[in-house]
Amino acid sequence: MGSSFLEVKGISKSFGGVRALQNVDLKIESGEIYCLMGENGSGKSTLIKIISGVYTPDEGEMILNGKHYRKITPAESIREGIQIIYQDFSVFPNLSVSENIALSAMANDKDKIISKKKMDRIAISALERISVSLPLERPVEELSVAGKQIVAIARGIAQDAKLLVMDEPTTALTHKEIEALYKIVGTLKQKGIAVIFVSHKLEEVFQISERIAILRNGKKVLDDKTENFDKNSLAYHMTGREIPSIPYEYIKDEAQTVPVMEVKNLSMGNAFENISFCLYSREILGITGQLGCGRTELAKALFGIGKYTGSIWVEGRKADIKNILDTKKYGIGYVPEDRLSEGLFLVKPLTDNITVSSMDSYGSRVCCGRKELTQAAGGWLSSLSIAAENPEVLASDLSGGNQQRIVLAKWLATNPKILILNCPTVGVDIGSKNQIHEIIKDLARQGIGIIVISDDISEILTVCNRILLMRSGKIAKEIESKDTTVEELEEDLIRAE
Amino acid sequence: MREKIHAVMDNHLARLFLIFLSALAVMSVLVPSTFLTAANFRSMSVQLPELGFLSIAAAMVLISGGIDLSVTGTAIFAGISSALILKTWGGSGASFGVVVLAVAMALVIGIMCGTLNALLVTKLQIAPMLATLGTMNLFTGLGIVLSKGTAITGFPEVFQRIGNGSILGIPVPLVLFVLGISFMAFLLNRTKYGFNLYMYGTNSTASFYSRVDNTKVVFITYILSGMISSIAGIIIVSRINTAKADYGSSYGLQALVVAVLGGISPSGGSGKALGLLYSIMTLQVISSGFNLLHVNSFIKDLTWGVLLVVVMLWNQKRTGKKE
Repeated sequence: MGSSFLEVKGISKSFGGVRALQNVDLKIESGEIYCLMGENGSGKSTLIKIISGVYTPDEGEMILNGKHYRKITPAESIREGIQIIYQDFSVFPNLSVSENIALSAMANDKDKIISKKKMDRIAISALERISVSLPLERPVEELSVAGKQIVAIARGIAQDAKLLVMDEPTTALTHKEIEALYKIVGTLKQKGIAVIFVSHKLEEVFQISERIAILRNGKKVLDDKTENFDKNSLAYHMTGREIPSIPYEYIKDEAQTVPVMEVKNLSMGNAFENISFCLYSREILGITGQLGCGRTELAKALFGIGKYTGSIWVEGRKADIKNILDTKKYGIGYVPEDRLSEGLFLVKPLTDNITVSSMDSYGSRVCCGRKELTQAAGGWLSSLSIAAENPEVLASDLSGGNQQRIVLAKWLATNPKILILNCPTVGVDIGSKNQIHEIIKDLARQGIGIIVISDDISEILTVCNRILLMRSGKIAKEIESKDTTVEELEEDLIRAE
Repeated sequence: MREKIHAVMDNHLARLFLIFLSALAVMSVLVPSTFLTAANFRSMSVQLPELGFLSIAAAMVLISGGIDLSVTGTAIFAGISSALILKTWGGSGASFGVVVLAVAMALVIGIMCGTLNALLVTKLQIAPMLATLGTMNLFTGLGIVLSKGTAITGFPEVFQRIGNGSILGIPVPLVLFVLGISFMAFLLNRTKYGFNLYMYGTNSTASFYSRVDNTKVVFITYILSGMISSIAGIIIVSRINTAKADYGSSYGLQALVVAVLGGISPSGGSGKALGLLYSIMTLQVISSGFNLLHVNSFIKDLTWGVLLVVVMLWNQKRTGKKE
């Protein structure tokens, strides 16, 4: 046993009447890679905010480097070597790499005058310690997501971090980048720096972590060495119930001979080329591939965004789709990847969020009454079992899973023939993820042709009956779901471009 | 939650109404002999519609999340154009047909100004603040060039009645303004355009992905803004029987003050016609009261500024509490 760097003892925290954390213990040793898991709302972020000094716990204490803290300020937490890397990395996009890395470290020293030389020196030494090189003068906004993340890690290192907490660090990374990140984490470990991964991706925790702690409803339900877990037991402990994953069974509609959508030789700039496929009604077609393989561009092109060559056919007729508005008459709906900025009007009531795309079907050509909209919205709330008191609740008040159902309801209200879902369960916890999968399957059974774009292999395999694997803008493989396994598909996905 | 939202919304409107009543009460106490007279109320109801129409124009664009600085420029340009038509075809003896033509011309100019703004904002992707700052100078400049910088005066009786006549004892401008603000309320609350305007103003990316015709929403909004501004231009020229390029140029920023004070959020997506009405009435009462008190006009501007800052602080505190 090494020396424990951070020990959290009996921490409890309530907000209003809600107990976010109850009597949680945690012990992290120097150089240990720890994984903190739990569904949304399980208390992960509250715990991190207590460690970093943002929140003061109601009960309990923290022992850092042998010092006891009843409560800790953010400045003390940083001085003791705790660095949090949030999902958005909190970098300054307009400043250079070296400025970003050195800024925080220099803000704490006594010098009043900035020295460019010193800044570069700090940046270089921080990057050296994680064995990465980056162009020091480049503005950070020009870097890839992975590059920004490295800048954020190096910034922490420059401030003598002894514990790095990374919140969902792999969400926006390609497989290669994830491998690179794991390497960096390995280097940190050798230097005696502890790392806490906050995650709810089941696959990755096994690759990287040595210990796993699971939070559920504010309580720590399990804390053990990684080798004592498997995927099913993790999912079970996170949700507190068995999650059935029954693959979607596609039953062909014999009466239907033409595909609901057919794509012929679709190409777009350097995003993708020569894509051809058919989609039948009742089908759920998965499109997967690494980040940057062209899957998002393809999905958008089908929804009228971007200039493409080639042709799209809907129900046997050539579709003239030049912009989003054209997709209305072909009955195409698109659920975007970024729910919060592209899918929802957060400060507007659910009524507005649900009816915005189907305004044509209410009232007269020019006018429409509020009552009719509220009624329609209320119908969708109950048919998709969305947990909201009434349709006048603001979209921002709902949980991620319910918000995603609102976006689905918005498109179902347009009575679509084809639904394109881009990463339908990003940021949704396991429990509601499963419910959304069931909704998607139900919709397909009712006769809608569905395309699901996702890099979540187990999601693709449970939801879709057929899968297109994309690689560098081309379809590399077409597979029936029943003919493959998670492991095989994973390997196909990772295989070098 | 529904009650809560309604409480907050109504609260804001209720508060504005309260401010209006207090302004009314204070002025009645300070200058009872002159403030509470029919003549004063008549003069207030003649003055209010000019700024009122410009505020409606500014408010519509604010709700879309943009800003229209060119409302007075449009009003001036449109007013001078109609004045020139009247002047060319008969001056004070111009026929009814010419008056109709002059009014129609002003409206067409307003629509054209709005279209130009919309083109700049949508097709050329210029930020509304910059686009309308440019067109503000362009429109005012066109007015100056057309009028050669001089005052055009002497219009027929029929035309002057728009700004000075009355229907059943109610001044025509007030009648027009009541119609205007009712039209605004109808657009915002009852039409699909109004619904889409709020959605676009709240989050234009989400409205794009929700298949709202964003371009159409922006065009309608700026065209409405231009048209409503041109109505203000007609009223101004008609009321003072003169068209001059620098008249009313201070209204531009005041119209924005009225809108923001009336609860139209500058970040877009919210605001009600009723709030705007309370806000414009309050400012008119204060402004008329100050005139009667012979308060220096510099102090007047100062008071408006203070009022605006106070209301913004108030709103900020309210949203802060909600967090």
